[in-house]
Amino acid sequence: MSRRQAPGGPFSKEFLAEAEMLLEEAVTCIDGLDGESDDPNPSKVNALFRAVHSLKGVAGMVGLTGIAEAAHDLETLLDDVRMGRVVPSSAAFSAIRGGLTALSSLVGRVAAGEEAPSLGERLRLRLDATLVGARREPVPEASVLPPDLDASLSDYERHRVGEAARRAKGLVLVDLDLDFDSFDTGLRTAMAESSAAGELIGTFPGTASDPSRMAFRLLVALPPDTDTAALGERCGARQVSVVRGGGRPVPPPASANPTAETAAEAAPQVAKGVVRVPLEKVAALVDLAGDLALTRGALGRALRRALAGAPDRSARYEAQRAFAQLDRLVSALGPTALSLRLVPVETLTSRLGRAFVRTAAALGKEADFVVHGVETEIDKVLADELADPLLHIVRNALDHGVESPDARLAAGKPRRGRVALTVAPRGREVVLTFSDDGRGIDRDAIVRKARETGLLSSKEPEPRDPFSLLFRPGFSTAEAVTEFSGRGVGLDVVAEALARLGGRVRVRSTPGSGTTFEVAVPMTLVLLESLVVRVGGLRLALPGENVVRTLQARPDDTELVGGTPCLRDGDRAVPLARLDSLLGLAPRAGRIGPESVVVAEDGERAAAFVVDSVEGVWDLLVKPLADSVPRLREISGAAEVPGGEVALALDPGALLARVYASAQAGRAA
Amino acid sequence: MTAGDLLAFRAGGERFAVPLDRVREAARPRRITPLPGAPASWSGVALVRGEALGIVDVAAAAGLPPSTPGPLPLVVVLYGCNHALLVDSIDGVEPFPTGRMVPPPPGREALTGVVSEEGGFLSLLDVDHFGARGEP
Repeated sequence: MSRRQAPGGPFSKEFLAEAEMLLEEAVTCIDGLDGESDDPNPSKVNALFRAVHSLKGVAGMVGLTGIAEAAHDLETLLDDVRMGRVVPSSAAFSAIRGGLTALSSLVGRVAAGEEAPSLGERLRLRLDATLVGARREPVPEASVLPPDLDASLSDYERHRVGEAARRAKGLVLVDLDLDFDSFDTGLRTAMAESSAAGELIGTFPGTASDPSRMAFRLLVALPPDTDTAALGERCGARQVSVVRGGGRPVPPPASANPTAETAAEAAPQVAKGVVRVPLEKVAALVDLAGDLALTRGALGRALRRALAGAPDRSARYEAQRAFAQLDRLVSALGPTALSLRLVPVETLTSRLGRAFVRTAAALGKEADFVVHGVETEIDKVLADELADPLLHIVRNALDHGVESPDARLAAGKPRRGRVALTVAPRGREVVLTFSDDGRGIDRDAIVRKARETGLLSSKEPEPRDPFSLLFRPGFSTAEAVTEFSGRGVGLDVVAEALARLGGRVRVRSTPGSGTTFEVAVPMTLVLLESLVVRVGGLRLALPGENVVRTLQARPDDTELVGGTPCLRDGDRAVPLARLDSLLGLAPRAGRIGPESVVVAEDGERAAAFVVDSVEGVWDLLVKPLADSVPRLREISGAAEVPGGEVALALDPGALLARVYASAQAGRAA
Repeated sequence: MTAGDLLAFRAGGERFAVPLDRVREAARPRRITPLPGAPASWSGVALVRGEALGIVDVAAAAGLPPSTPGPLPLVVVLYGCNHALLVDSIDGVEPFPTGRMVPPPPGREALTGVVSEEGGFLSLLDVDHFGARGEP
């Protein structure tokens, strides 16, 4: 899969979904407020305020400053309305509507592909123009509340208390004294009942009758004819005290049930389909899944022992079935928990894409950033750590690689340059390849420069890979110090950062036609679609992308080519090898009839491998095995397969190399 | 924990110890999967808390008959290495022995020394011996 990286990339996709949801919510709120001007429902005003505030946040996060700025201005107006600094007149509401329309059109321009739309003038100015005369000074008033409570009010709560007075509403304190074990339910009920009867201004701690109980105090504004005693009863209150008149014991309140709106108010705020979770919580979940798996094993053994002599067959069957179910669920839990740490590499590449656009603009270069392989998933930690070194490479490609439009035209190249990024798993590594079509790097110039600057002494021979000099501290080919590279921070920082991640970087370049930076890092937690086979009592996993096909072959399907047994695969003959003998494993006893064969390739070579059986294709989380652990170099790591077994991950490149080496040895003999 | 404390354990019927400050945890992975091409002193690979660790067979490394680990083998996970030690049981934390330490017998490079104690020997393992030089 490949696609042009739009500025903002997938963030703009995520952003658009989120922004549209927030705008929709805001419009719903303001529609609900119509006809309520003068005394708007405070929870609707708050919801509107929150929606616009969130829009500001997400716009800021993806770098859409024009939208963030406009949202900020509208948010300021909404804050003024909820705090009573602006009279909630119809003029104010039409200003808010106007602001929402402006925001919608900005978001629409992002959807249409515009990079960084802005209004051209501050929304605030526009809003202020419609609001002439609507502002008012807050009126400080003497408090009627108990002093300790008064001291703990927020500005907003104080404003709502003032509003209640202005609108001749009653103000009551509902005191709750709840059992510790069930206080959350009790509190929720009381809050819902209070919101239904009037406006719940605030919830404060109270004084409990004894240490095993929890006390709360709800401050509620009520319409003048509310039956406060009945409200107290519905809330399960210990006491309801009227702070300010209005409340008369008159028959029943309008509604005993919380409205849909207050129920929504109580629901946790979760962004559409996405929850942010700190890594340590994921780690805790992974640990729990591991411990659960251990307990499952112990339970299984105990169960088998206990059931061995059980006379009741149906009970035995039920227990075994339940255990099989548990086994399946627990097995699924571990990989699921671990997969929470994986993110599409797209989150990283889109960040690079945004930096690319900004850098190109600042440098006066015209170029496209094209990304392939964005669906590869990598460990979140790895993605974060890679961002800085890769940003450096992107800037470097634009700064030193891609020429200015004029220079490109003069060199007979298209005016717009191009930097392509390809992300692909390779063996136990993820390889990110950045190729530009710029001026390239002259290897002789590098060596000359290294000698001039003393980086390479006159006695030292030229290194086999002169490009490696680029990554030595103190090396810079920049002719001019620019805003983006230079400044003494060179590619050595990139090499160092990658080395910390266990990775490396290599450069290839052709003067005049371009430079390629190849970054390879250990995959750590890359989820890899893998074919799992059984060989010599072991499970082995091959990356799915290296598997051409699996088939059943009989001995007479093979032929000898130059002394090497080969299998016909389409119009080519590929060398055939027994995976067990290749890896020095015990051959399976009693082989009769057709055998399972896997044809694998690594882009250059292909070979067919006889295996004991093919188990299936799974997405595996392959854990690399450190080089310090002695083993065949064909084995790159280990992964848990569904069912709790461990499969050893094979490095297809190394495996094919061994097949071809042994085929050559066979020919030589 | 005082400096010099050891974690003592048994493997192949003998007592061994490693510096306590190198011990991350004792764990029971589901199983150990044999690693083709690994020397006899390595039992295989196991996934411990999502990490692939090489497992050193302490008994085999000390020249004793190799262990035959079943399911839920007991391993001691170490700081600063990519491997864990397969043991039979853990004796616990012990102060550094007061007895005289003698160099290990020839051919037992995995040990830093042997201390004679009541009823036998306590062998001190060199945790960095394994893998560090790519040697068994």
